Amino acid sequence: MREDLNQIQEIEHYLMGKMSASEIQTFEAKLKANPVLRASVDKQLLVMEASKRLGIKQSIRKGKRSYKTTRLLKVLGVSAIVIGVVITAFILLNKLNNESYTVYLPKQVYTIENLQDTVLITNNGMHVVIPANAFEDESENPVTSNIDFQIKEAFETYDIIKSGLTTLSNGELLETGGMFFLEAFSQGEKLKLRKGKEIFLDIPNINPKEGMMLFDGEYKEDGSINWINPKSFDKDLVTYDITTLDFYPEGYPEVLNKEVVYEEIFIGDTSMNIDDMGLEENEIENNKYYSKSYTDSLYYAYSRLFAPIEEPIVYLDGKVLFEQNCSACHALNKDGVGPDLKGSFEKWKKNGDDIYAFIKNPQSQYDAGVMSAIAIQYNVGGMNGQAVSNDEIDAIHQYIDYGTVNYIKSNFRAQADSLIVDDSGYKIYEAQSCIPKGINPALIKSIWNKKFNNTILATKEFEERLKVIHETHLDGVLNIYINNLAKPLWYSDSLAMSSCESHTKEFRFFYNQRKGGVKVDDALANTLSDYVARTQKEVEQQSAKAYNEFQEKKRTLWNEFSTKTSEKAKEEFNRKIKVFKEELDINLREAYRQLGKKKPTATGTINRGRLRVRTSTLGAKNVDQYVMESAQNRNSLNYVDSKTGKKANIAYNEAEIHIKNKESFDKLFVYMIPNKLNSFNRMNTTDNKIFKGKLNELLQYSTFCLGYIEEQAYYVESTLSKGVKDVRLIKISEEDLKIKLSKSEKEIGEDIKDDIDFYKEEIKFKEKRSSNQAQDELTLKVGKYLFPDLADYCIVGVTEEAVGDSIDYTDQVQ
Amino acid sequence: MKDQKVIALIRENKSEKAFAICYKDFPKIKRMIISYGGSVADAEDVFQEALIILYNKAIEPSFQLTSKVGTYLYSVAKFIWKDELRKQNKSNSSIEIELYDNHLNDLEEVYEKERKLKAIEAVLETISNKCKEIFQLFYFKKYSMIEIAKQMSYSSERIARTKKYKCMEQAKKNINLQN
Repeated sequence: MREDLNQIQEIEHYLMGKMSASEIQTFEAKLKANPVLRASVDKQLLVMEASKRLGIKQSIRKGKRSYKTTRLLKVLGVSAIVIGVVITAFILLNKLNNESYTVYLPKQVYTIENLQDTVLITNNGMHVVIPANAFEDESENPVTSNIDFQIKEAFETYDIIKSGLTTLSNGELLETGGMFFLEAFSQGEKLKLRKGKEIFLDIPNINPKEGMMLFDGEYKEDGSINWINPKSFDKDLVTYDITTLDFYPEGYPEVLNKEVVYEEIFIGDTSMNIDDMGLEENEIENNKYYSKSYTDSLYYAYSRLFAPIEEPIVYLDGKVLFEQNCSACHALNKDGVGPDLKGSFEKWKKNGDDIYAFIKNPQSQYDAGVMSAIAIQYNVGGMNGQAVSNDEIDAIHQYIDYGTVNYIKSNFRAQADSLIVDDSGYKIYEAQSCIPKGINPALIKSIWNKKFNNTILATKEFEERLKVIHETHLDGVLNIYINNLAKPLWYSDSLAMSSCESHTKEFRFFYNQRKGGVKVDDALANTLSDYVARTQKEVEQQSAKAYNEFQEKKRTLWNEFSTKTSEKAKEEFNRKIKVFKEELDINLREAYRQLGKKKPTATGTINRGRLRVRTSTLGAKNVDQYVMESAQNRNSLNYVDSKTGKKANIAYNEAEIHIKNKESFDKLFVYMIPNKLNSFNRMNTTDNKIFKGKLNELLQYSTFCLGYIEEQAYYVESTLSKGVKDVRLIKISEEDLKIKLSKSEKEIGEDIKDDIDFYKEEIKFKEKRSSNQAQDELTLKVGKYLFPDLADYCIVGVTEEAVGDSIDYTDQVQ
Repeated sequence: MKDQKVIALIRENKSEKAFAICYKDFPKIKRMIISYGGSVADAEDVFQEALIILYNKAIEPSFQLTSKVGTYLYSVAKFIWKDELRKQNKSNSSIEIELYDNHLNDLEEVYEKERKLKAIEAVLETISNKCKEIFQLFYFKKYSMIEIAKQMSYSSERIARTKKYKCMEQAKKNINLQN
């Protein structure tokens, strides 16, 4: 609990005498020393006393009222017996047969099938539910043909008087709410109810009075009716706050393995949040709890699975398509026979070139003269047209630039005959296979709210039935209850029984309970039905939208990081080339000096990863070659000029840095910083503890080690010479690190900063990605529990990504 | 005796019944107040205050009623009305208070306390009805937290308790604002 609330609890214990003697002592000492606390205690006491006073006043009011009522009763002299009014205007005493009294009432005849449960509505609006196989003939044989079911009703006073009906029960008078007569015939023969079968009736427009009951009519010898066997009517059900009932499917939210705490307990009480749940500190920290509004929204999110999908979703496998159509000539991230395609789509688009047309038929574009200068750079003649569609080209583009393997094209309409599953880059996931089996969470959401308090849905009886309804997977069954709010529960139970084959037994069990209903007027019932239909659609759409947004978010995250990675890879590549060039230059100069020759104006150009060195003499070519190899591999140069016997030696010596920190670093950059070059060399490691590099004897080096544990930087600087050196990194703030880097050689500082920046991007990306993954995992776990028949891709979409680029931090130049 | 019954009922937490019995003494007190210049509404208020004082006395185990309840209430009501008049500067020194009961010695103190609490009533109007209900159930009716949780449809005792403390926090805050 919050600190403040703890104090209030303490004060209360003190004021209500719930403290032990020693506790009182300690507390009173605190009071003496702390006037603010004293004031707080006084206030709390005032509130307590004032509350008591309020209570007393309320009690006084009630006492006054009851005093006045008793006085009034005494004055009027009224006793507690209620006397009803009797209608016995005309009593015919002839010895006519049983039907004489009812012959004047209009007869309603309904034909029903014996083998089915039947529901009828009479002229007076009475609902009659007749179970299957309810009748047998006089000899107790089963009925095979259709049944004529006759009903006569006498609810109006006129009808009652006209037919001379009496309301005597064993000689005593009854007040009547209405009478009706039920008879059944089959092929003219009179039927009776089979043992154990009952007909249920829902009678409208009766103002039920306390103590009203249903009597059976027994015909007496003189033809009159004696009313016997009183049965009480279905009682109204007890309603609860609907948000405290459990409408979840079985096992949810337990599958989350956390306890659920109710956030808003009381309707309208918005002041409670999870902080105020009275949870212990460590319980909140260990995250043992989810709030109910969270478990609700997690559950309702699955209603997107019920939103109608118009078209099948098709996934194109960009990787497969690339391999099949492009990889013969194009490599990933470098030039092959054909150029590196990364970024080409954007470039072409910018220049207004039609890359689609080009890929399908390169010559045509060239011939038509529609290609821009950039496009023409590429060796048009070398490329054959490819038989790929525009969508396939898009999928390949996504793969090349972003590493996305499964490119989703949701309104893709392929020609039917070209649809092949697997092996050709097509994977078609039919929307039909993603139809979930279960109750639509949107439907649950539309009823699980305070609008339905004081209806039949806000009862424990309904809660029980809903558990079974979840198992039926039929929204229709749930809708029976929703659309019959004005009816007693047994009525909906009976309909459910006949509309749900898989669970007829369970609903029959409920039906036999003969549970009543909750009074709700018809207008309200209709309003609520409409509300449900509307809300259900809205919820489905909202959840579908949220899902799509999340998928987009994932894709965007990946694309952005992928782009950054490619940029970094390019930068690193260029940096390596740059620093290599400079070192090579120095080596060459020295080698020539040693050989006593003048260094020719050899220039190297780096082009697309290939180092081309032009030379001006033939002889020097050999030297250059050796020098270059030695520089590339950082091996000592030992060259002897066969003509002159002169030697050129440049030594490379091993240096090792041993990181002696106890901590384990998330990332380590260990740089060799040569004094004459404009960038660093990286030292390599296999275990993140021992870093090795080779030092060029012509240069002087220092080392700069930078380590990260999450966002905290550690560093150490030192001289570097051949052999092993132990170092220990110490913490440094970002500020100080920035200052340090700005002091070093500008370019080196910038290059190191680039490393740091990219590392920070990596962290951000990994965090977001793992949070997305966690969300997907949870969605998948719960989704598979709720809808076990669905494939994974229906629940979380397809989100495979190719591993993509990683930065090459080794110090080799290819 | 009916008078002892009143005290007993209050002590048994059946104060409503006790007050109902007391109301038979109201007409006489009403006449008295009116004779001293008060209205019917005044009489109701004063009688209510008198009942509150009776209640607070009755719950003290050491309290013993030595006269009739009606007499006790009559004296207290007279005292309160005199005090009211004094506060309104309509002092009427002709009102004589006959103190039949030595328990009325501290009447001044007791009444002063009630007047203070009356002021706090306004604060209680500023908190939610749910809060008021919880307070009355706990501090007056002395329900247990479990019973309160059931009554208020909270799903656990702990939540009811926390809610009570939150209400107290709010009420105390509102006292500050008042002053």
